[in-house]
Amino acid sequence: MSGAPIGGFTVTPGPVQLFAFSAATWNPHRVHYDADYCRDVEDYPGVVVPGPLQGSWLLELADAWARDAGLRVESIEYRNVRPAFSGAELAVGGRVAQGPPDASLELWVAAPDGERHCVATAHARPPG
Amino acid sequence: MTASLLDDATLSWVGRTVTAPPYPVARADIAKFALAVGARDPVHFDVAAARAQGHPDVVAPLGFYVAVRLQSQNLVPLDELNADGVSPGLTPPSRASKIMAGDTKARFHRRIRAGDVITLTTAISGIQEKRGRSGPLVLVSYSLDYTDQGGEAVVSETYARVLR
Repeated sequence: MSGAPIGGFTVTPGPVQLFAFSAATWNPHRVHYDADYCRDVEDYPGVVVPGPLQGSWLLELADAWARDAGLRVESIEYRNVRPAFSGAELAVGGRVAQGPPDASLELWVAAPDGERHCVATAHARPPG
Repeated sequence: MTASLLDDATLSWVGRTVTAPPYPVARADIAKFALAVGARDPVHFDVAAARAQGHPDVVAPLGFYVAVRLQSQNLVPLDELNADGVSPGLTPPSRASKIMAGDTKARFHRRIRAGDVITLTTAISGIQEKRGRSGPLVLVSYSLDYTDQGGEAVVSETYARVLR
């Protein structure tokens, strides 16, 4: 199973999802909802997709894979390497780097051209 | 030589620790977070579905600890937020003007579920100035412990903020 791709999904976060995520996490950081501020003050071309939202997608992917394999996700380490912006299509994917039973997953959020926005390693093990 | 972003007080913040007021996790908190992420599993919304899977109540998506962290940091009067909307909280003073999320590592000891009361203790474990591609940056490392109503560890996290 090592090296096997993990079936991922695509997502295009827009204003409604970004509002909902900032509201659900009570995050008032303006880069995540204020387009004028992003452009005029922080020189971003658009509203920034929160890093933890990308991390949460990766955790959803890891969790679904782990449950199918009879494992539980023990840890994740992720890094936001390039900002992603509202309205862009994102591919959430991964592959099994090692195992199971002690599994190591390589995960990413990428643009359609393959450039990575967020990269992660997750570990999953048998429960108990 | 490029000017440093550190000011006289920056490094003295290493070791600072804050314990947030306990956070009671409601079913609605979990449902909102799950909907915002796009998680559709009924175990996040439906108590009966959660119990059928062996959980005592609805369980949160794994990423939910971030909602506990951000709410613990940002539940302050709006006029106490910085101009960028970020809570000054445990951000050390510096000459930097931008804050970005850096690496994060989380270890999950068990699922967070409705009815849990989570206490988050955040400590600054290190502050380091580095030279980035576009100038100096300050890496602030945090160590976060999420414990439940019984004092048991639920999530352990290390997290970095990049100031530049």
